[in-house]
Amino acid sequence: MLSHTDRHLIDLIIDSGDETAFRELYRRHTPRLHQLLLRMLGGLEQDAEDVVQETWVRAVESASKFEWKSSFASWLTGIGINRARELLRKRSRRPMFELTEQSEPRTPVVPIGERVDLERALALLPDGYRTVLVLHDVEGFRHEEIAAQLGIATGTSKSQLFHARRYVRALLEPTGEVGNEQRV
Amino acid sequence: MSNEFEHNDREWEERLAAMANALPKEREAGRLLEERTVAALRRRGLLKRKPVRRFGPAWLAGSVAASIALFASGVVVGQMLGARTATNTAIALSQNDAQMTAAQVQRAGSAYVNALQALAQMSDSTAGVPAQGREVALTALHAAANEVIRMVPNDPIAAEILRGFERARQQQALQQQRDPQRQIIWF
Repeated sequence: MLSHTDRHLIDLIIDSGDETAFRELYRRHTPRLHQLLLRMLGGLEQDAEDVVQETWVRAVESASKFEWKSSFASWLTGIGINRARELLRKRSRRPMFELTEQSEPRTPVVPIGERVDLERALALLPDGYRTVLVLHDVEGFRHEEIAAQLGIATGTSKSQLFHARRYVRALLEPTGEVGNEQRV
Repeated sequence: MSNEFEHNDREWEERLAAMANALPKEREAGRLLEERTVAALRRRGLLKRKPVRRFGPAWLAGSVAASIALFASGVVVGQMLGARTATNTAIALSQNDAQMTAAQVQRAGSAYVNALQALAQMSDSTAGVPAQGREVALTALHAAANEVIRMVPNDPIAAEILRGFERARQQQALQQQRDPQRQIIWF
């Protein structure tokens, strides 16, 4: 079973509901999906697990429609990102991408002077910033891919990344120049 | 000044990108989540349970018969091995016992001879001891010869000793008939 391709496993699942094939596929792709969703959701483990489960259910439900124009991993990740965004929307009254290219970054919620590590800084980012920064800087997506995935303009993705980075810098270097710059 | 800030920003962004890139990309989700997900897919009819093999009565009967045969052959082999082991153990024990008994006889014999030697030395200085010692020594010798005959009925030495005792007894009896007042006290 280990040598089977994603496509073969998907065919087995579609054709006969093969549980063994599903488990193999699940174990192959879940660790990466889980880590990405956990970061997108600000480190909330329970939410991340719920979204992982929903993602797989949605993926198996619509597997027969998948045309294999991209890798299965990319397709699965896309489903996961969309499910995570839905949850983020539910969690916050504020629309996820309220900021435009002209928007100013909000002030970090961490007390001034407190130093945090990058993982915590990501968790403290506003949802929209965090999504773009995680996809671009951590996962290596290009702005065009992020834009296509999130349904936003490429410029918006760039702008959000710019602001997200400043925000992170303010969290990591609370007494640095960026913090002062933001307040000007 | 502006260039300096831009340079700082670029440098920092590169540092951040490197840090972000170094973050772990995978995280194990745990077995519970897998089971939860599989259960959710089953409920929706998207996955089927692994088929459980059903066994017919003939297959079951054959299995039972094979199990019994296997058990019985195991018992037989076990008994054979056990019996062989027990026999070997008994032989070893009896050989061991015979050796120990022979060694005991040898030790007792040596003690007997040593005691007689001591008695002989005493006879030089103490009157009366030789007659008493002689009776005890002969009694022990008679009993020992009897045991050897029981053990080896045709043993010539033991037989000769017993014949000697018998001759001595007959002579003694004849002498008593001639002199009825004389008696030997055995203890």
